[in-house]
Amino acid sequence: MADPMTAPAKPQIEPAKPQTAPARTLVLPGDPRPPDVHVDVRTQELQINMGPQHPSTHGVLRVAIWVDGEIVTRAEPDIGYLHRCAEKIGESVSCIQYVPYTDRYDYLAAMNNNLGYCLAVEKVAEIDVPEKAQYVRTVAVELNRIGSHLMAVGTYGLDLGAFTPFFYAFREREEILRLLEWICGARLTYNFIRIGGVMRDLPEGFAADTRKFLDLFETRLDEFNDLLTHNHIFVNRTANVGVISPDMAIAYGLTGPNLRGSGLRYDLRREQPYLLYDRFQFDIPVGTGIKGTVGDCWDRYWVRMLEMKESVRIVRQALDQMPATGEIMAKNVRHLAFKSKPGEGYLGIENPRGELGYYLISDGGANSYRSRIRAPSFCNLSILEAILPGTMLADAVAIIGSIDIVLGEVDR
Amino acid sequence: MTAAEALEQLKKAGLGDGVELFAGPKDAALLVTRERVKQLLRHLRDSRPFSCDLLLMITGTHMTEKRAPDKTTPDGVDVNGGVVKGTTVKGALLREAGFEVIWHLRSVAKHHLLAVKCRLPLADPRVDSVADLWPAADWHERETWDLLGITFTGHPNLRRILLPESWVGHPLRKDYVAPKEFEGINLEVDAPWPTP
Amino acid sequence: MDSLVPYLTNVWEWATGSAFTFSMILSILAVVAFISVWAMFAVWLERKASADFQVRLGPDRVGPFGLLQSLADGLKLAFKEDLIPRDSDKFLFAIAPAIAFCGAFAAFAALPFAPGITAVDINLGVFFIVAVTAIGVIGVLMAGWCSNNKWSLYGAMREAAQLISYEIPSALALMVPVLVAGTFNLKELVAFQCLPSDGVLDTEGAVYFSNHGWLAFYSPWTFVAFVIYYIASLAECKRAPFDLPEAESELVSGFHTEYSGMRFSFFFLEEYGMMFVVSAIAALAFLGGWQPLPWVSCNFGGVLGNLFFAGVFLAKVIFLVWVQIWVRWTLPRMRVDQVMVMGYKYLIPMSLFALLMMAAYIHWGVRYLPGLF
Repeated sequence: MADPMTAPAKPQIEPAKPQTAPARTLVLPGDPRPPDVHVDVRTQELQINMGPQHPSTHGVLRVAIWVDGEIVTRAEPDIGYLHRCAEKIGESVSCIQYVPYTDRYDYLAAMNNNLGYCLAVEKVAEIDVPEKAQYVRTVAVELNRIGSHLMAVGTYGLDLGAFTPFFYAFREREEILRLLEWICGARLTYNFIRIGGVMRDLPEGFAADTRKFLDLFETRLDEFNDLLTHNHIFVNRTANVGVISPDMAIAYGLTGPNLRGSGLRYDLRREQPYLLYDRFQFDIPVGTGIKGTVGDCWDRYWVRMLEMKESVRIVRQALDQMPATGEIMAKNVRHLAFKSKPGEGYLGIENPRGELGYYLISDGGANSYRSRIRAPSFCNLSILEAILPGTMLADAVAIIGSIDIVLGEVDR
Repeated sequence: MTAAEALEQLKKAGLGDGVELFAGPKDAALLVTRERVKQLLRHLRDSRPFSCDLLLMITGTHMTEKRAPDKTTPDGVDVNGGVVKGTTVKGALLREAGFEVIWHLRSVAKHHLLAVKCRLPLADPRVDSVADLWPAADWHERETWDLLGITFTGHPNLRRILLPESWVGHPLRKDYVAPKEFEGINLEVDAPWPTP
Repeated sequence: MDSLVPYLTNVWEWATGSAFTFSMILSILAVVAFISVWAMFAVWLERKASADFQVRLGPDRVGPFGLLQSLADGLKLAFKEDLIPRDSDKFLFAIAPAIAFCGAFAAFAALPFAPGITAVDINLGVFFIVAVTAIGVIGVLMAGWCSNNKWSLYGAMREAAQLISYEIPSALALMVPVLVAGTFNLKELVAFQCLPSDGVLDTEGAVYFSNHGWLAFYSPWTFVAFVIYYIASLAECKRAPFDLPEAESELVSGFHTEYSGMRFSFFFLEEYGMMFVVSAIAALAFLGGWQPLPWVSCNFGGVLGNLFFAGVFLAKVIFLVWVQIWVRWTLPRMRVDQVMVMGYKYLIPMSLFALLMMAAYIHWGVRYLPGLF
């Protein structure tokens, strides 16, 4: 039986030049339809609202989509449905009180958000964190990264109609949640990493259990690859779809797996090692266009799959190198009356979704004077406008899923 | 590349006018007058030694005036037994009132992070948009407009992004007063709202 | 069709209730009851099977093995408020689920379950079923159009495009066994597959080797036709990977987005009814109907014999439905253009080619390889 599903490569529109602002008029940069279709089968343009209540916008995102038949001619994301005044709250509560709030922004990678904020405060307030605490942070953050990526790839399968991989991903994620619950008592919003250290030391037996899980997890990743990654229909749905060229990715401020999916080896853990990442050996996977073009949806998905393997390596090394005993909290942090030194600073870390940065201004009080969150999903989402036109409605779902946004972070 | 090195480079290139070093207590930045913002940012993006191609974020801060505590000399008694009123000397100006806009740029090729800062007067917070240099700037400028009310001239679509279109005011300004209701929705925590 | 004519002409006899029409009404009731029970069973099977695939437990609270879960859900649906959107076309909105259900329901009339268990034995059974199952698309189109919802409209248009495209290969694929057996009658199709080598079907109570065996294995081209029919039938039932009309991650819920309660459950009944119909046709036309093994046949009479045959037939249908479920919970969804490409560029040419080659094989009297056997 001949291969039934090899559709001819769909014409892709020219990616917008980074130098020009995205077109906002109805005139398209390039009409994807062949000329005869354009002239003969002219259908009325229809505007549909994808969201805010839609199964595959991953939250309360609304994308106004103009479609001609099944082909998207224009798309405009509309955000703000989940705006929770994050930055205003940052100015009205003290730094210590603000840590639990950071859990709520990227709730799939709450540990990373804790870390980003705490590192930024520690930078401004000049706090040295003990070595042991740094190792504990690394373990927690990398486990959380695996969990977050599992969620991303699982729901991505769900977006494309594959239900079962989602449950397999969740089975693994459940184990990670169990481990994280063990160290801090919470499954989603951890509040584990505190300014100056961590909440408590790793419990007894945690390292052994984690190692056991990691061994199992690697075999299960292969199972997941068999089930979804190399599935013919899945590859057909994602390869050559939503191609983001490296230039375009940089121009739109993409970071994280989305930037690496476009073939750029750029990872803050390597560029400006923050914790103890310079002590670990790990690779930075990038998209290579195995199944299609560099920077397509499949590449972004594949980068996440490979990153999970690298996280496994990092957790193993961190557990190996971790000193058995040691302080887990900096000495000079008085938690009840914490006041930062005056100053301002920006610190970015590699969140599962990209560069998560906190820009803090402190004027010496308990509250920060200004706390701005550079949310990776917010920046990644803005590229939708540029890459959706010319794709099909079903591709829009594939592209939104491949960008892997968390609306809590987009709207803050 | 630090901000100080960047400033030296700029001076060598003859672009040093109107650019100073903002040596804050922590992160240094290039402080630039608002007329030169766009030119400088374009140079930082395009010139090879900088090649700051990734715009991380644009944001602003509403700076309220801050002074050192006033110094008051106590009341005294003169030789005749009369009371001498003490005098109050206003404290030194620690922080000027105004807006600060900051652009964080990262160079993917050269692995450095640069911040460019610009001070704007309270009465007229407007600065050139860089949305035509980086498409990424689009949403950041909209957000800064939305929350702080800083106008980016030349932005193609400067609308609110996080708040509803009909919202009044810019919440991240320090003098912002939260409204009691919005389009019939009660926003107070304990409202004298008639219960049915 | 000729057996339908007397019913229509003898309306009086139908009204007075002679024994003949009584059996007719009985069989209608039996079909209704069967579809309801079948849908409940199929939903349970789907939920249990998907739970097995997805490392879950599935329903296990209501009844043994959760068997009564579907009944509980059905009760819940029956007691739900009948919601009709304000701006919808209320009349069409109300009748659309019924029309969609009609197609699947009518097809049951012509399905033989065993040599002696069939509502109506129609000479053009294959033709009749292919024709009436196409009615369903009208109901779906109506539902999508009158809901006054753009997502529903999208689902309906996709459904129309998909069903019309995939009816062609499925009907063409069904022509291959028809060509081989030389009959449109489903019972005779099975009889052809049961035929002993002497060509006479009169060995009552005997177990014997059949001459032709199951039609799927009769010749390479019938096997190709079977595969094509099965793929096309997945599309006709709107099952994954062809569930575009109700692709929940793209179109919210497709054509039944606005439906709830009993009306929604009618679409459900239609879907599971269609699954049964297409699997039953596949079983009858390609997999020997009630013949237990590919080349081993038996010929029993009486009530027990008929029940045995019905059991074999149902087992085959349930297996085919289970494969549909298996496919659904394994594969991602295709894109609409890929579905069309697959239908028009691959399945239709292949089914035409298989039909042509089968005709040539019959002409030359070849079954497997030309010149050999």
